[in-house]
Amino acid sequence: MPQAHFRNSALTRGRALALFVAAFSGLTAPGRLSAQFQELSTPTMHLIYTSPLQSYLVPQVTASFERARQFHQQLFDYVPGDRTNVLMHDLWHYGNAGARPITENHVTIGIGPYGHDYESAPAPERMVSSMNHELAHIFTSDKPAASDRAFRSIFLGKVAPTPEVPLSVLYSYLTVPRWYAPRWYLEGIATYLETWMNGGMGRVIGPYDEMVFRTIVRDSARMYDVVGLESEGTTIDFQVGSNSYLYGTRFVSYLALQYGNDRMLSWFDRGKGSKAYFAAQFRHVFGTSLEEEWSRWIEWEKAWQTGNLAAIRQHPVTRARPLTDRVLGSVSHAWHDSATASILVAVRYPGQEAHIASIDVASGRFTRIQDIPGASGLSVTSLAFDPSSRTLFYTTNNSDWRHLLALDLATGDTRVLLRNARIGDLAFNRADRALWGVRHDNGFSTLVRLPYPYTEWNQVHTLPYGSDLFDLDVAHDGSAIIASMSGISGDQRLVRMEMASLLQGDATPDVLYEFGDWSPSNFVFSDDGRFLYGSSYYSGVSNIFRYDVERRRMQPLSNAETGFFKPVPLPGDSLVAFEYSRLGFVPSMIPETVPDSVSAVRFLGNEIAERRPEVQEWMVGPMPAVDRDALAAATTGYSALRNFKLDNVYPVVEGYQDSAGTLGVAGGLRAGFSDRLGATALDLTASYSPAPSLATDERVHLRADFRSWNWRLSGTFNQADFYDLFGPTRTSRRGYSLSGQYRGNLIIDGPTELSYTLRAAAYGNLATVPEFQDVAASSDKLATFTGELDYQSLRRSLGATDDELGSTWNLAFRGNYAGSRFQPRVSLDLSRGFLLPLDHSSIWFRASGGTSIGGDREDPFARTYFGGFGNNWVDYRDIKQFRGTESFPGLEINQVSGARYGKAQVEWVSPPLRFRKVGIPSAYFRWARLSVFGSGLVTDFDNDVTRRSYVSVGVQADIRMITLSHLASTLSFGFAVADGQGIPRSSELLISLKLM
Amino acid sequence: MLTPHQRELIHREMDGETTPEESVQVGELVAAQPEALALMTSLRELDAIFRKVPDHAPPPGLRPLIHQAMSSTATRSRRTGRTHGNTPAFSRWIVQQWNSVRNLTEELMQTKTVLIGAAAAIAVVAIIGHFTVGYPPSVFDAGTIGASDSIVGVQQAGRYRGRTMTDADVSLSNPEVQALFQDDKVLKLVQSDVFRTIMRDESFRALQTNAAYQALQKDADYAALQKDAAYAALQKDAAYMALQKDAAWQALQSNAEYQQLSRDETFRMLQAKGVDRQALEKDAAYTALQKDAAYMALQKNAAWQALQKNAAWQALQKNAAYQALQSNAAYMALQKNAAWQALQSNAAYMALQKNAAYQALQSDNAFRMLQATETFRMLARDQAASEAFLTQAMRMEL
Repeated sequence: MPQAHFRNSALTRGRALALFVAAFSGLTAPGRLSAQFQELSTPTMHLIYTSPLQSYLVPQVTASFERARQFHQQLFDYVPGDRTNVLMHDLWHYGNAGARPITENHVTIGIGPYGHDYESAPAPERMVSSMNHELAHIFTSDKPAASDRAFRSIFLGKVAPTPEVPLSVLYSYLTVPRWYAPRWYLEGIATYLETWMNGGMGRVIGPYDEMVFRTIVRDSARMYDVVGLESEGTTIDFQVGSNSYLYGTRFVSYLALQYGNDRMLSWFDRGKGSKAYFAAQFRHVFGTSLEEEWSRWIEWEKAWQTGNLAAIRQHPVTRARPLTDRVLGSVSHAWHDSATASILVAVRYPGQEAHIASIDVASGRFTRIQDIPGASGLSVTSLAFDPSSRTLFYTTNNSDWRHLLALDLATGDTRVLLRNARIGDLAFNRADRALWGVRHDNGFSTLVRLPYPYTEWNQVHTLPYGSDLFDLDVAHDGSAIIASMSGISGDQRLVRMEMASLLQGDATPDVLYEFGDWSPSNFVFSDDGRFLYGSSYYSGVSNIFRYDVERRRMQPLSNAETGFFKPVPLPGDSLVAFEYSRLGFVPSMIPETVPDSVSAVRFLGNEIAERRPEVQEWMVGPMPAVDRDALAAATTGYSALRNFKLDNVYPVVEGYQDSAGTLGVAGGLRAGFSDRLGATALDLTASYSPAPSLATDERVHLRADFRSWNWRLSGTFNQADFYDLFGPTRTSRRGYSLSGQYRGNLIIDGPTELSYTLRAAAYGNLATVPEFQDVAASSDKLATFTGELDYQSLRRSLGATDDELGSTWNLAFRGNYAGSRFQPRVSLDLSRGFLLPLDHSSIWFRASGGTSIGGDREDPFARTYFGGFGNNWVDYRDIKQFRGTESFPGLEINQVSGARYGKAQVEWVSPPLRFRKVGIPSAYFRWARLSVFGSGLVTDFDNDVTRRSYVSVGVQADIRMITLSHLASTLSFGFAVADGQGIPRSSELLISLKLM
Repeated sequence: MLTPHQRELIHREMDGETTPEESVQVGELVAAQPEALALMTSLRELDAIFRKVPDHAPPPGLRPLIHQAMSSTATRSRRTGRTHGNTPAFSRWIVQQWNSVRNLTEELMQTKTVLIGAAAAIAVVAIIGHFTVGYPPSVFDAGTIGASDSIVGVQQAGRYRGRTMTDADVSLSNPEVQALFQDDKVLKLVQSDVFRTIMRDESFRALQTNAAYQALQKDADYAALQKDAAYAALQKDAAYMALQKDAAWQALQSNAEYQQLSRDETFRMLQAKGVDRQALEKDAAYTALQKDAAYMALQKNAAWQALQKNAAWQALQKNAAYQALQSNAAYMALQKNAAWQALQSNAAYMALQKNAAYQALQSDNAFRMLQATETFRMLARDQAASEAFLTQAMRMEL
């Protein structure tokens, strides 16, 4: 399924919507919270924001949107047919944004301040920057050629792909073909335009981007090719999704420099005569294949970076001594523990969960201390250290509303200090044991103090909107705080604030150093307070700097080839710094000496600015006047009903099998409706089977599915399904049904969720039991009620292909009323997974048990049926159906049953085999993975006569393929053997293709 | 440390491009800053060396490379913002190249051979740069290491910058209202039961739009009073709280004589001394007060008489906080405040004094601090902003 492209986040549209709906329908009634949503409509935009507290941003968002829209409209010569939906919220710790063109043009913005990690995404004011970027996505993907317009007319709108209707993928491509391109393609142009619209503040003139490619060239490492970037570079590299931005920005910039902006933009333009598929359009514009030009870019990049390395090497480079023999991936701020002569740091690298570690300075011994749920991308967590009590303070849920925790290094005990504190950039004051940090809330940054014992935070100073403080440190005598400070322009400075003044409410900063364009990062005090140590890209390369507090003088302490970050002062004449390498950061020792000289490097973006000077005209103009009163007057409460509209209508093909096994092929239409948030939707499907072999009263098939936040109402008539065309699993059923469901969330806390589902359904004219195919119903009418309590806390490491550790449990009650009899059942499912020392390999233990309560045990409505892998030959559900309670590979589907049962399973999951370059840009393999499992089942264990036991062992191999850049399909092969009482040994072969 | 402007000035002086006034500035700069003197000396030495160098044919290809570099700088007329190498004169370009070589082999700088070799080396670098990626250094890239860098020994990387965004590029609507909710004390307050109760009270909401109340919010004395410890203690005092509900007390607040007397410093001072009648009767000021017309009128006032018998009033006379308040400068000033006086007879205000939630709120430190903040007082001046704060406070999730 295509992703909504988020700036620096790995969120998919589906997950984002799920989190959004969950967050706002969670702990209280959804109606109460969603009633706070506000809506403002302009001629070009629908702005929806989730709280009146965000109303202060409405003029800025509106004006930024309008400026960016006018720019892109002129650049691409395109006026979108509909208004763009803009959803504003405050669910994340750091600001982020995403966009998608289906089914309507939609932009989502998290209003928190941007992160400053490694200056990987320099930007000025964030609403301006976000709109510049996200509307580039909209205009490059939404602009239609004549054929796209024709299909949008035929389908009455743009089509979003849905797994239930695989043909929707084709329709989606026909209506929005340019959306089906790799993420690097989409992000490359967006970042390129954003940089120039920001007046040069962006990744095109980004020191981090230069560093990444300079390091690759220095180490003679492999630069990903077009296929390799998507199959490997965005999945296993420690920078995962960031590689899309890095490579995309770089390649687009190269094209602009080499061939000019007009030609480069032609590649992205969907005008008359253009090709639908992005790679075909590339050949159409440049007369060569994408792969060939990509190879030429790689050679060009090597030459460019060779030049930069030569510039650096004009003067002696700093030789660092690595402390460890391993690369740590992403790292947090680090601290020196003098008691153990070790460095304390949080790390995150592919294959293992993010965790806090200790590194012995002398021996380099690496010791894992504590896992970190919800680690963030490049900085992992916010970490502070109290050396006297040897307590580490850290944050979890780092992408969302951060929790604050304390870890006692002596005992290993962890305790939660504050939930949803939303505080980062922690620093510890040794003088009074208080913690300091920066809290993000409603778009503001607030300097806060948490007095011991850290049960509350107190506001010290709230910065004006657009300003931010980060990378705090407190002098060891508690006299002052230093921090990096940024402003509207994107300029950065190192500042100092007197503690006594702060506590009196005076936060006037003393600017120690103006770094201008180059961010001061992670400056910390020396033990004696005479010096500050930090890093900056001052020369274009991140080097370590030392600031003499008394003389107010800044000096370099390194001349790096790649980059040094996050210095940790040590006793003596050395210090620890983290050196950037291809696979992540390496803790290294460098001498505390001033290098001879440090040369600057060149930026590709500067070349573009000079040789393609038209980009200098792309900076958006001054803010237009905004009538705030008019905006306020036009704002109303959001109404889903008022915003409910038809999305599209398209043809469907379905399969229907009656109780006699006759399969018919049905053709029909599906209509989709939704509101602007997508939280309320209605899907209607109607089809007809012309096959004369089907009974007349079973040829019409209807389905209606209505969803609104927590509620879901569904109705079916002779339910048919596309996947029933293939089997062996069939969901089509004769008869009619009507059901209502409510799903509520009791806990939503990062990876941990506890939800409940209540469902009531009524069926009529049944031939088979709705739950279990090919099981004749004892009554043609049925009423059911189901109540479920579902808990899951699942985590995965960087680069994982599936959840790798955690636990789940599900408690369900189901009552069937049929034939004047009530047949209740209860069941409990448990699972627990462990990540093995072998990267990305897990072992899972599962147990299930259930029983009918009273009633007729032999009634099919009272029994649970087992058998089969559970996959269809062509499917859309989870590929690991064998994990389900009712699956039992090796047996036929629903071959065995019991009124009471117990089941257990053990599964080992292998590390995935990555395919570096197997395929072409439009279709390639990504990974393959193996599961080996064994299951045991006992049915009716309370009855000596009817008790049966079964065992099954099997394997399943899954191969992931990507087509059209977004379509993730999985081909699964499996084999299992089952044996048991009263049945012959049997085996089952599985071949299944999950299309989406 | 020299600023870029100062360096530019010195270079232009060497190139003969300064105005007379600027030349004076340069002279003063050189006299005041050793760094400026060093730069000037370096430039003069170079100039002298140049004059000794005869014409010498440059290596093939060097001339077009130099011209190419110069022509690129000549087309920067539309560029705005901060850049490096802004319109460098030919001599300055040579000086920058020169200084990079000089740092390495200073004693060899005195020979033509080295000079030619340096120029050739520069040409080689430029040629290598041309054939590797085809581009000589951009005008937005850095110059060379030297005194022009603000971190000595570090060449500052150049970056193209367009128009710098300023606060004028930001348009917000009442951000100060939202900023209030960043205060932990305000958050606790607006989420407290007592606050939410009083927010629903019509009298309180009516008071927010009352002109006298709004005027009071602007009053500095009122703001100071919110921070006063005696006032804070009084708000929590049971006797005081009981008194607020007392009809006699309330009637007295709007009594003209009482109001007049309240403005009298003598009266207040005596209040501060408590109800030690014996001591009072010896007090000359008290004796004088007996003859005061307003005081005499007050003695006959039914409300005043009722108050003397009021247990809460009597208790209050002994209350240390109450006594301290009588001599509090802000409090005394407030008694003279017209808005304060008008408020005492305001129906909504009077009704509010009887409201238990309001009393609880008045005794809440956070509420008093909130009233003392400049932002909250500003809100009171803006009815729309005030309504926005109250409305959004009520929407805060519990």
